[in-house]
Amino acid sequence: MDNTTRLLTILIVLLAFAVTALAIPYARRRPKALALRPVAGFEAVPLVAGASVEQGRPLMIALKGEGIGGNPTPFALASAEITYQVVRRVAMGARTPIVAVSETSMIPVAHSALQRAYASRGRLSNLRPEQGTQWYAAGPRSIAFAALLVGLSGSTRASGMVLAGSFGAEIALPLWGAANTRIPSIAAPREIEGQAVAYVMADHALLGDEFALAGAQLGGDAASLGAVVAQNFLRYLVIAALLLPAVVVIGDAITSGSVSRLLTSLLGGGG
Amino acid sequence: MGRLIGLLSTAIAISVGVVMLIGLLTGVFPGLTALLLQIAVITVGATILIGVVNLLNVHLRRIVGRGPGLIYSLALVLSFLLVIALYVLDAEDARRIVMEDVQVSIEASLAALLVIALVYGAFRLMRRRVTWAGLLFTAALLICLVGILPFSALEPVAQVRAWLLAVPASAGARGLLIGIALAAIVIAMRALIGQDRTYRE
Repeated sequence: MDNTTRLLTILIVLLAFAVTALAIPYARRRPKALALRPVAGFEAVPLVAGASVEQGRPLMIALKGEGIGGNPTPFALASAEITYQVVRRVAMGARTPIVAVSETSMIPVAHSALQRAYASRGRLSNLRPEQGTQWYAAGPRSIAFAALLVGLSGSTRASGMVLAGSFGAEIALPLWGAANTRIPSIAAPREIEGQAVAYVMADHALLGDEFALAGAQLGGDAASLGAVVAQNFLRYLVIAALLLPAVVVIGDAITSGSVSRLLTSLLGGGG
Repeated sequence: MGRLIGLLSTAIAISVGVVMLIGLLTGVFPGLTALLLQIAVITVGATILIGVVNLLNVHLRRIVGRGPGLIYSLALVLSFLLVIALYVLDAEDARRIVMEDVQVSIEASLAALLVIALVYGAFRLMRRRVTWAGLLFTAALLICLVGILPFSALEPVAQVRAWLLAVPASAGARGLLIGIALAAIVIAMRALIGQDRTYRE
């Protein structure tokens, strides 16, 4: 990492740290002041969970390609939050949901999410862990894992599918399976190809950064709401940083370079 | 006691996270960060054993209990044992047949099936409801497919296709990626300041 990249990274990390640390207490003090935009994928979760409870069939949650101990760790935490929020809603039912994971380091994370969700409903004794978390080995673009999900949902007569993680175009297979068996599907892939396919094929798709909003949209606790505030603040900063060069170029064209000269004098550039 | 253990594990997780972050960004504590990374690699490696136990536990229970999907579980456990046996016996040729001839052939045929699934997806999008987004998607798809045809009469379509891929598609993809990156940073920061749900419950 060269010095400029390192300096920029430190600045971004410090900024994100400060914004997150300030946003969470703010959200705790004023939870009612924060309005979240409706996201169809999250609005569908109670319906999908309700169908599982009413039909007495398990819901299938698949988490692909994420685990603890590396770059995907934040995504693993986001997937764990989605799992927790969905399982909380099916914990009242008779059947333990199936959580299929592709990374071994995700097994304890998924199991913990199941346990916490059942405990939050006071139904820990109803959890059947031997049926809950299931590991199936998968490579980075494993079509076999995607095909396996079709078989798993069919053999267990799953009532619905929630797919999250690093799915690419292969997410088409389980979504096709869900459409053929007429079960609802919610997809939250983080790969661009996976998002494109999910937009077309899933009943409800969580696109872009929406996968990280599960806690705020479905839980509504202060830490999750604060994270949304921080995320939005950082997003506006990025938009401003992207627009600034365009404003300078247009301003220079209109004022014969006055904007550049003003910025140079303010920031002390140009030697 | 449980609460004390929870607090202790949270304190350890946050301390290790902060030390790693500072170490990786500034280059201080090189020995400590290397040691922590080694511990992380060993721990992740050990989870392979958890995975094997989980796999056998789930599928042997299904076989013994004659649960739904019994045949699949039987095939999975037998394949697992076969691969282990081939490694133990060091049967290189047989291993290549299983891993390359069988596995690759199956994945290739599934990849072919994927194309049909994608075509079905496009059809389903329009069948469900004709919306502006659906029409735009179909128009862009048609332009991309027609623009790739090697006919000189279709040169204007090829130019539109190139523009579509270079400007709107690229801009959209970058926008989505920036959003994902910001979300990842905030999740990581939330974990570092001990506000993730896994610490709190």
